[in-house]
Amino acid sequence: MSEAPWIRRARRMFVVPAFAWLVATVALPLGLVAAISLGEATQAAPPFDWALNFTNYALVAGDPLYVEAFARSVRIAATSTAICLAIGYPMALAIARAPRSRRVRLLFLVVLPCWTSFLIRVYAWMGLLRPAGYINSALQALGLIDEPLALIANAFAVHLGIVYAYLPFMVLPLYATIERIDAALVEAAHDLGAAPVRAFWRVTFPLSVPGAIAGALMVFIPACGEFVIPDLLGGPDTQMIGRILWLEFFQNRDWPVACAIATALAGILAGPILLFDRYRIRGT
Amino acid sequence: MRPTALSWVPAALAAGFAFLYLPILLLVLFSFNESRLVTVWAGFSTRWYGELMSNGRMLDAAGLSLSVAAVAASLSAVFGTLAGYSMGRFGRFRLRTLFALLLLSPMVLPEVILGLSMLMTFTTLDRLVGWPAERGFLVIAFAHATYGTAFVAVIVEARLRGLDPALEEAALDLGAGPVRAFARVALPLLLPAVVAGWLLAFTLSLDDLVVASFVSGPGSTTLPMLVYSSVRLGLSPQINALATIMVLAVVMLAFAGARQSRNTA
Amino acid sequence: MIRIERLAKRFGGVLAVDGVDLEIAQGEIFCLLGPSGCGKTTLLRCIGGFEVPDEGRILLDGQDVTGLAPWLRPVNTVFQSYALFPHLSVAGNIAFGLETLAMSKADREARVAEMIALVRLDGLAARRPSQLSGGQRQRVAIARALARHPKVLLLDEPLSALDAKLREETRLELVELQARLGISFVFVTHDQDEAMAISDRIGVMQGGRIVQVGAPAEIYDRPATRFVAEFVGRINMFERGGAWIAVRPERVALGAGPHSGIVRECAFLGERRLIFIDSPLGRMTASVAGSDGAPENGATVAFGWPADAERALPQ
Repeated sequence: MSEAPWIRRARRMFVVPAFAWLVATVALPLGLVAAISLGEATQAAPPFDWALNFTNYALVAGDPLYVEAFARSVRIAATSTAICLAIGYPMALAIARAPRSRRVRLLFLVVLPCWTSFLIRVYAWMGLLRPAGYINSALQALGLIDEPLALIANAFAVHLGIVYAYLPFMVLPLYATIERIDAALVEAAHDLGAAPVRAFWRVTFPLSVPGAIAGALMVFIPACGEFVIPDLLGGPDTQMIGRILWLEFFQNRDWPVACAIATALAGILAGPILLFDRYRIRGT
Repeated sequence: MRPTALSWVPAALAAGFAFLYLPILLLVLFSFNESRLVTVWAGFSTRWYGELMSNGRMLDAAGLSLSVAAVAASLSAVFGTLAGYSMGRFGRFRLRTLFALLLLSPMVLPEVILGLSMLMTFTTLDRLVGWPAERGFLVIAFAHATYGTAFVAVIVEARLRGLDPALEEAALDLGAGPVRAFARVALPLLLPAVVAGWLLAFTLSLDDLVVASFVSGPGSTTLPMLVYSSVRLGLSPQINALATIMVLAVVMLAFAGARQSRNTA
Repeated sequence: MIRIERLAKRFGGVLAVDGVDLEIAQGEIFCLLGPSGCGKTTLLRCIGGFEVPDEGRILLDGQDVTGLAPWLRPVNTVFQSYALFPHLSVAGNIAFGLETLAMSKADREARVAEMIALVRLDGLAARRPSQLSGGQRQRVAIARALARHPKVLLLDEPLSALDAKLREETRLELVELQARLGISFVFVTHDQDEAMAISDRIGVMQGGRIVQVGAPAEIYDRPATRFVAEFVGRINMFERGGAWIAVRPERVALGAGPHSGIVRECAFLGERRLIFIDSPLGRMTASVAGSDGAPENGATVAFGWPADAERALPQ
């Protein structure tokens, strides 16, 4: 199949600068992280020397602090993703079944919080969950509890924060998939004797699975590397790998180990990311 | 569907919205609290807004953040449009899979990885060519533009998919070269998407804590960095006031944007 | 005028155009007719410059334009979707192609006005495409393509977006317009009535090849292949002595003849009536004047045709 020279020239005019920008700002930096992860920490500035050894990876893989942080991150992200799905699915379904004129507005309401500061939204939960926060104060005023409940600095708060912050990312692709299901399919199921609940499980749900996968990955992937939420809402037993990386970098100033953690994290997430690329709902 | 069937579903939606908005509403409400104790209501007051407005560090940080966001969003708009147009219109080119992966990565990779990678790049660059010795305004803006680009590209590509490719072919047919066809036909029709992408990139930059913390040198503190260090020490009514202003700005912008897109649709 | 030599175009592994040779004369309306996927649109796009053939050449007035970019070719296209620029007015759309020509502003405005008058869109110059009816949009697309004074106008299914009544009127207008301008029109359609009604010559395409070129009456009366016979109009086809014999239904006369069969159904189409007959030759169709009486279903009828109505086709 041949191509006109003018098409090639035209393409080059757009693709080459875009590609150059992506290589310079994404490929090169990520490559550098991988390269420095094989280096050695020094006292110089910047505090590393180029080398070619895997001691940093051996350190990360051999130290339970890191290994457990990785495992905990995946666990917390997975649980939070499941909770997001449980809350987000009915929301997406309700929006998709709302009158057409109202759908855009409802969707807008789902997305709106994302446009306000992430940090501020996590901060809002600090006010709710603290020992002297709104929830504990209210419960104490009602005489339901004597001592404040431990709502913050634990796994509960971290899960809550992740679910709160990432819920819209679950609802969006789910909605897009459910909305695209032909209403006549559900009607056909009714016509063939399936009551609403059965019609849902036999028709709507199976067809919405790609949206659920896309949404789950949109929550799971960033949640794995989350820093702010475990830092502000978590406690000593909820150290996630994002925060460990942060501490390694800012407190220990060990750049090669930080880079090794980053590379390992990227490696763990590579599978989900490639899966997401296959499932992502275009246009949402 | 009969109204009785799965009737709890709309209720779940209402509960979901309550979950999303209640914390923000409480935050806004208590920004008007007289007391320094953020969680105890002691009467209506706007004193924290006054204190916020005379907080020099906060204003400096806000100024830095806004200018960083403007530059980052503009860079993102330029390269994101190029990248989105490349993906949407020049579908089959060599290394397209790599191109798509590079475009996707900044959107999905954890911010700690992005921040770290950007800093490694800037320090290596500094070693090699002596720039940037001081990592300030421009460095943060460039770092933010890397992922802003990806979001602009996605929005532009989505809009491009709704545009008849024959429109650009018609421009070529009528004597316009590819650049002219892009500038006179594609770009005006993509403009709503470019503007939406610019706004998204602007907001993302304004919101970023992690990447800015990694790349910024001493002396360059963005608003989220300042908020973060203040929040780590506990609740502060000034932060509530700041949050309220930000929420208000976003709501107004979002409504203006929604109206705009309704009018142009 | 246009000379196409051994043109071939592949998409992936599929041959969309497979060795087409064709000559289109100055000032004729030439139609590429065929079912969807036969390669007619790809061939048109090769002439327009949007696709570059893998093999073969395209000559315009003796000049090889095979690899020439679309914006440098003296041909213009009316797209199937019209592809009117939604952000420009009618006048803006028509003026678009003039902006890259060396032309004074006054000349350009005069040309736009002339084109608007030509397609009778007076008073609509300031409208946006979204404010026009389907028929009006089509006229803007034609005016826009003609504004650059192309040597050839290419039209890709120009009538498919119009409703049936408007389509018939527009056919006539296209023929008149072409007669007035005297340039060649090459258009693509899958609608054989349309092709018959307006073309000087038709090229019937099948599987990327041109299987027959000729005037409408020639294609209809002397189809070169079984495919052409069946694609263009109704036809009765049966085997006799190793050859396929084709007879048009309107040549079949009822009441007398060497054949007989049982009437299965009569379909009343207004001016015509179609009689479907099961006979030893297979299912046969006769087309008779609608005013003639119809035989009963189940009745046995005799039928036949004059010898010159038969056409033997290769297997």
